[in-house]
Amino acid sequence: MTTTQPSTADRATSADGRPATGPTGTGSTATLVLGVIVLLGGALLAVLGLALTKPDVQLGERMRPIYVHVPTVSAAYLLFVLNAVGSAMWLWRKSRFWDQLAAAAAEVGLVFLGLTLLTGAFWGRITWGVYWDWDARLTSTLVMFLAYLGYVALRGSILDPTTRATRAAVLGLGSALLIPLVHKSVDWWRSYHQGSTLFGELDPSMGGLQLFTLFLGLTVGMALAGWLLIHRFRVGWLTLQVEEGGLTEAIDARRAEAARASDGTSVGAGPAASVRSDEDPS
Amino acid sequence: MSPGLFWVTVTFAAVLSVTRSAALESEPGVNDAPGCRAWRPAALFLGKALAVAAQLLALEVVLALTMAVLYRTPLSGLALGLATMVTATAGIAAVGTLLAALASSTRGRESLVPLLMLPVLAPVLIGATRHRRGARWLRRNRGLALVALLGVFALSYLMLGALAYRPLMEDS
Amino acid sequence: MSALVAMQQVLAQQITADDPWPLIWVAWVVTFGTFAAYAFVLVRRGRSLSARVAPERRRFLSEGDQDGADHG
Repeated sequence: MTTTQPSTADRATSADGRPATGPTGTGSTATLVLGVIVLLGGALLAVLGLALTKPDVQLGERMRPIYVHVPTVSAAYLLFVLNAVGSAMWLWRKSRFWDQLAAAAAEVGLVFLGLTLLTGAFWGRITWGVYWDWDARLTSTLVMFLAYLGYVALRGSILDPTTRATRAAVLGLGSALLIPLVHKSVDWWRSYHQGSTLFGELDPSMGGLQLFTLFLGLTVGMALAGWLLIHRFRVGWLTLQVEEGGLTEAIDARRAEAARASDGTSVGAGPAASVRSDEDPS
Repeated sequence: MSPGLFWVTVTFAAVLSVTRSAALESEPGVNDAPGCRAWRPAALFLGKALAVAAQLLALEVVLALTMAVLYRTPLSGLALGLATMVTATAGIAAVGTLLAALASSTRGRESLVPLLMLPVLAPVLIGATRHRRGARWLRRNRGLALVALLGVFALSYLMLGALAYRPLMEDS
Repeated sequence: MSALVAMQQVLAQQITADDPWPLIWVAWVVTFGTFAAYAFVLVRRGRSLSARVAPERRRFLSEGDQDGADHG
């Protein structure tokens, strides 16, 4: 995490009273503070989760991947809910803000869910003896991963921003319909994945420091999700500006060309100019 | 193995069918035709889904009869089997019609449609496959609950598609 | 290829020794490393894109330019 200090990102915010120079990146004072919290919290989490907490009563040392596994899956679920909210709000309000929020939430959520699958595989290997099994919970998590992978792929294959936003919003809502299915799947199909840690009952034998570490992990996970979400939102916003700026430039160039062409005809230029003015009747 | 084969075949057929169904509409000017104006988007979506479902059901009947003969699969639990076929097919048609509309006239839609469809259809396929394991398994394992699940799935995506079709038509 | 086989053998030995620590470390390092890499990519993309956008349009502002995206 040390290489990605957000502090470098922002030296020329509006705070220093120079509106002429915009921000040079996606960082801001808010993300700087959030980033420092994430770094400190992450360091504390590592020390607690890998060293200071005692082995679990039942799981022993195998408890330790859980301290990163549970936060990533919780943040992923939250981000996918946020994606659904952004999708619905785009369809209702047609504000680019909600579309970009949905896009950012899906991509960041995909990173979190991918890590959930990976850490889950390692945990499975040291606990059940296998990296992967077609267990209900595992399968449905993979299904959700693929669903949001499809969402990102769809966004990548549509050029027009408005078409992209509307189609992606519908897909986002369709994928959100899968979330309750995934959550219920443990009850519906036979599963040997343990019950939901976050919303289930807490293990009473869990020590105070273990519980604290688990909740610290959740807090750090949410803060990190927020930090990544803000940066990804701003990247998406900038991309949109570049896309539309490119379009404006193209139109301006076309207009200039047409103007030059009509100037040319008035002086009595060759056939090329008349072809151009035919193309552009305005 | 035959229920898995059956539903995999149906899913591939569905991918082809919905891609064709969406391609018909993406041709320029189709939605401006005078006959189309009279249709509300929701009705248009439901009609397209119904057409896909009819194609799939016809295929399923032929496929089921062929399999019954070739693999000597007993046609036991016929009522529940039919209920599964109808609800699962409704879900597949609804999801497919909606997702193919999302991917229509994009770059690489041939690979995009299966990528979008398969995750969403996974619950349907798992449910439907479980369902065809035989009457005894069904009676012991809440067969009707699974039909209900497939029904809820189909209804959810039919509703989403019917609601979403207007903005989809307006914004593309 | 042989490196992969060697790695698998190392992993297999450690697993048969029933020591969970190697995979615990892998889980934590992969998690932190992926987040670091993703954050790094985002910051870099943000900087290179910022250079291509007019200063006053680099940030989303809740008032004003919000819906005025259709300049074309």
